[in-house]
Amino acid sequence: MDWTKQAETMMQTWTEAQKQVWGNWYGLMSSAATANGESPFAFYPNMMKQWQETTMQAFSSWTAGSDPMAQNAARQLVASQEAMMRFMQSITQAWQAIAPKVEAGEDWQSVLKDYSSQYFQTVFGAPTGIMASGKDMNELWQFYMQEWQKMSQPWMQSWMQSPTNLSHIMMGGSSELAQLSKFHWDVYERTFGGVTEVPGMGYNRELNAKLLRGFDAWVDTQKVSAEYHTMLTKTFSNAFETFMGKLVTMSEKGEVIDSIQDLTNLWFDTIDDTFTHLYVSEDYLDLQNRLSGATMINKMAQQEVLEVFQEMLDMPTRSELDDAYRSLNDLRKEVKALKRALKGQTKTVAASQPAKKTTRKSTTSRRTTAKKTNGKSPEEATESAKSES
Amino acid sequence: MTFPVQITPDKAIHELTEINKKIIKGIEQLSTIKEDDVQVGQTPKDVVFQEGKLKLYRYRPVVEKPFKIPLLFSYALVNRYMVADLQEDRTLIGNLLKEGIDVYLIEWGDPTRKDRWLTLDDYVNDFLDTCVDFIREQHGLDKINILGICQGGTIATCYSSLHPEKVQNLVLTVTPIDFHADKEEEREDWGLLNVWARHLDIDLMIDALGNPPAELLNFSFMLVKPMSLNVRKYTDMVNILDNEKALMNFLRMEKWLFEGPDHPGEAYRQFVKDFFQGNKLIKNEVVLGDGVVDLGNITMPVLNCYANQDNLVPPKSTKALAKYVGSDDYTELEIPAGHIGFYVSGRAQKMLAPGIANWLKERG
Repeated sequence: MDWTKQAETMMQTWTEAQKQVWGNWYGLMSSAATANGESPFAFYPNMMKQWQETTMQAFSSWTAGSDPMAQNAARQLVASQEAMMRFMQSITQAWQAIAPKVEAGEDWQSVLKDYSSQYFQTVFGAPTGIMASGKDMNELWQFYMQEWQKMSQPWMQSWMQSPTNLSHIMMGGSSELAQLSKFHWDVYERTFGGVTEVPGMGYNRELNAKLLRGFDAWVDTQKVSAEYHTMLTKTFSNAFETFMGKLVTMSEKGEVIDSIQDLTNLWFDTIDDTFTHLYVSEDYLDLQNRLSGATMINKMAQQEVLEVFQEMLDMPTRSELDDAYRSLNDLRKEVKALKRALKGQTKTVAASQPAKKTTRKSTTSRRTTAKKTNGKSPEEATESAKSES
Repeated sequence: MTFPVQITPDKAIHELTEINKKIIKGIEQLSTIKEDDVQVGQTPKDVVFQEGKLKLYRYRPVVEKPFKIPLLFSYALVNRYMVADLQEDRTLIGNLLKEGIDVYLIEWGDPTRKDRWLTLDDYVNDFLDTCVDFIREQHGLDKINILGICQGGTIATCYSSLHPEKVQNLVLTVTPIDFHADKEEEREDWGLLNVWARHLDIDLMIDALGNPPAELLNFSFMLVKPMSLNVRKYTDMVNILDNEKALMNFLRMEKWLFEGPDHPGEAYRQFVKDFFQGNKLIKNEVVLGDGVVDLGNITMPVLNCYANQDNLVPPKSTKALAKYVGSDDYTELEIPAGHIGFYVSGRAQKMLAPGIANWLKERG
């Protein structure tokens, strides 16, 4: 199917849709100049809906039967155009909100702040996702176990079924812990318990402790991630305020922006500048460090739990492999140092035997594992290596 | 009060239609390009020495009698050396060959978990030293020339201090020396990586990750300018989608950017702690193996090349070497570019290789 031909049809439909949208937008903004026009809040949902319907219809007919790459590219195209439309919507709405205040010489900044803050909360969503459901430890525990379930079925099934109040366990409750252990023990019995001799409760205690530590680390990560998300959202909001402030200044100077590209470039530059300012602040550096730390601790806690299962299955653990690699590295260095010493001795011996004339080229003996090209000219060495490869 | 955004419907439609046309043409172009079509590092070369993952390349000379003292490239442990040989018309290595320089280059090899224990001592006193010895032996020379790129320049600096008897001339390109010099920069966005690294709990990171993955390192670079490097770059890409040559250039750079290796863990721990955080290089306190890196030991001629718009390694960080180096023959070469443009921009192509080659030849 020739999807580029179809694209031309789509282009026509699209252009018509855009003409209508931009015509409406311009009309609206002309009336907005006096801040007495139709409310953009009423107008935009309809405009966006209309635009989406038209473009999606065209999109479907364009990409029907085309290859996945084309479909994907077309989807990206629609998405970027939609993002641009939404951006235009946001600045128009913001301008509508602040224009009367600017004209009246009143405090427009706080109106903008409210708008911006609300807008970006909507765009980026609630930062607290999982944490919002929290405070209910059971629910958090279920989320945590879902993460584990991906890696460790069927072992974690038992933990998923846990009806326990985990917060109670963490505060020292014992009956729930016993219940957790029982579930674990049941699965253990059904799978490996019959063939291995592991001290049951002792083992359970170890796993429980590691799992609970892991849970703590996971909760910490979620909390700090939410904080980070909030900070980024606030920064976008600040950038938007700065951006609108620039538009106000331009308006006061009688300057205009008459191309989409110039407008988006101004927006991008404003975001980069705002983020740069954030990046060097102590608040950001502290939060970035806490986020990195919480993520790393969570990863190490995950590894601890995983290693319990790996040991149980007689598999080598990450820690064991790291130890082995370290030993190998130490040995490698030792061997190399010995070879260097040997080479030094060979040179000394050669130097003390004047009858046997040697050159530096012929004395090399230290790189037994390397591809040797010694004794040859650079050109010969190159040729030799080429033929080997 | 006039709304300053005066994009008329006609202009908007015209602009968007043009963009759409380019995108559609671009999609057509992209659909014909295969991964194998996007190649970097294509200047002919041969492996002349190999040890484990390390490979030493010798580039095939393009002049009859290359300059007698070969030049060894020491690349960083971040990203790959191909930025110095991106494509035929953007290649520092290719240009140096044309200038008659005999070029060698070390490819450190992609570290896996096994390599997390490699330290800077291994890279400086073992791998780099082994390659230097190999070239010296092959050419029957006591000393050779070394060129370092970015972090590879810091490695070359340490090496030149610890083994000055093997280095004829030292050439550094966009090399960090004073890791706290960003504090003196007027622009907030210059040296952000230094600021972040100073606040990083590197012990925790290496203990948890082993080798910091390339994706993480890349993410840090991209975060420096979130819109320019993650969004604007691609919206600007629309303007070159219908230009096959420009599109291929763009794709080669993307390939280089996103195909980097992980960083060996212990080496990274030391680099962050001793260099970024402790700024020990300029204090002559870096310890590698049995040796202490003393910049005063660098008595051979030094050419220090820097990019005057470098936000990753700010010029002051590089130029600080002048204060500490022991050499009486110290030269700076300023290139009007950013950190990457230093190697790939059109202006840099005309200035960098001739500048380096002439400087080397003048010193014999």
